[in-house]
Amino acid sequence: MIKKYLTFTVKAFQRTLTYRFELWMELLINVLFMLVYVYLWKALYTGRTSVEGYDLNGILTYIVVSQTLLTFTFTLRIARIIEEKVRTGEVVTDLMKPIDFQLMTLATAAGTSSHTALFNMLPKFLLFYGAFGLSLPPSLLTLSLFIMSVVLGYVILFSIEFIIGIFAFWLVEIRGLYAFVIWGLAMLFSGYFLPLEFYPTFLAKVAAVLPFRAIIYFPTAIYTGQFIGEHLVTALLIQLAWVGALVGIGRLGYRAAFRKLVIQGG
Amino acid sequence: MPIITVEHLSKHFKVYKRRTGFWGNLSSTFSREHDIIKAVDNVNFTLERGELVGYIGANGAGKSTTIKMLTGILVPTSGHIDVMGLMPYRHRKENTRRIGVVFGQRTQLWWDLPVIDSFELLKHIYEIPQNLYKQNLEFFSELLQLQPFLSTPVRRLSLGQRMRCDLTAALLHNPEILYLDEPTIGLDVVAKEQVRQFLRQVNAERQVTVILTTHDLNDVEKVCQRLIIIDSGKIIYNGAIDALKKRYGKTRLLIVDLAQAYSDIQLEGVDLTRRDGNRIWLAFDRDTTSASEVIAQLTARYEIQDLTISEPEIEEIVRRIYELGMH
Repeated sequence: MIKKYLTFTVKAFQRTLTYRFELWMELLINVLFMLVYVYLWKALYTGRTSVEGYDLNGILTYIVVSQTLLTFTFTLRIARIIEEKVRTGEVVTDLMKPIDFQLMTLATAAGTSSHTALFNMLPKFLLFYGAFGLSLPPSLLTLSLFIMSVVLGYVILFSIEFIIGIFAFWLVEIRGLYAFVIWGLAMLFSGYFLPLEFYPTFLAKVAAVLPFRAIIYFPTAIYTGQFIGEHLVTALLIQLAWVGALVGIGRLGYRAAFRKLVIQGG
Repeated sequence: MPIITVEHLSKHFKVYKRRTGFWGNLSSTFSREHDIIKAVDNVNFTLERGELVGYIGANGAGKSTTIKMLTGILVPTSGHIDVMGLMPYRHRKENTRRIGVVFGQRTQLWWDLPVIDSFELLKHIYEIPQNLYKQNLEFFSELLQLQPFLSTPVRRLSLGQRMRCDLTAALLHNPEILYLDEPTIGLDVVAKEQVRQFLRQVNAERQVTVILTTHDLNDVEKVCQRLIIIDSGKIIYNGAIDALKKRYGKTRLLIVDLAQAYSDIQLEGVDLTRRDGNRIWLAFDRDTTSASEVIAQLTARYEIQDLTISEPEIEEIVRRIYELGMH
């Protein structure tokens, strides 16, 4: 049962190797963006020692970790893949297999993203870590909790994209919705641009009721040691709750979508 | 007991009318009129295990809609379908385990992966035991000569090669029924013949029940034992191909080029089936009327430039059934 889906992960991992050029380009652009951000923050911190609890080293670590995690956001493409499947009718082929669509999509995404993590995110992070003398997580336990939080954040991002993708069954075109949620809401509230502590109160309040901060801000804050003890556990529990809720919504969504397709015809 | 039973099966689609122009668009937004299209209209048939049946009809006749309902990805508006004791749309997953499906226009293989990787994936999806998988893969590779391109990515295969791989993909898990929706579309003559021979062999050696839709009546003539013809959602013929030929094959066809377009053509014992400018198609029963009689009548009354006699092929028979309906 698990093996069935793991095969999708392995195949997706292999498939990513086919598009090496694209991967190198993404890596290059992303490294340049990170450099700009790092130098921007260095400049902003001239003459300051600490802002909102972040010293220069702390903020640089935050920026590099969050920028690295952001890579998932622009390499996942799950919404687009589902839209494409609906548009071309390929989704019918999936329906004709004894397989769970959501799990299959997640397994496939995990394959692509493992590849991204290993050959894009890790080298990129190590490069900046070495070049700017960043910090590591305070302990091995924090490191493992950070990784756990990254995985949970990833599933949240996946679920949001999955839900957007499901809208393709009703809307002809989801690019607008995708841009609004992923490039708008998620960028604003995930905390990739700057730590959410820096946000004005009302924006921070909005961020607190949305799932996006659980994608990047939570794991990054765990890494940098902003979240410790009770705070850290709460963050993980909030992530778990969002995973449950969003996976559930995605499931209901695709059931309704398939029912529509199956009753009305494609 | 039949493997497939279809009773009073109907599928109606609502098609919304769109009015044109600004006000038309605006009013469409608030109230939408619709037409009901009866894609499948009170269809009944049964298939016995091991049968090889051709399901044919013109574009939009309801072929694919029927196949989609049989495979469980479309819910009937009314009527009943029983496939191996299952209701396909209600037991979709269970049903998919026991059927194989090939759409000629679409592949179920993974575009970027080598063919063999797609087969591996299917092995896991259908949870095919390793020894059965190996045995089947060997069998089909041999029969369809897949060996030379097993490690080629699907996107680089020719259409004929891809179809051979898709046929294998649909059969790896030993399905009891194989649904084929236009499996020979776009293939050249050699590739078509390969697919036909393969289907005959799979049907004979593995007792797979095969139902195939096609536009190419050669497929039907060379592969199927039985023919179901659907037109405008209704079944208009269901029976052996030989019987169809016997019943309609008595008719011969005379194609005549007249010197001018006569407004009124009257001949005894002859049906004027088609007319295109100066060319007319005349059908007559070979048991009661001879060709020379018809030609004699023609030359006596009209000026003729050219004529040919044709024996009806299945294609012509079916075309006539589409055009005239069953008599």
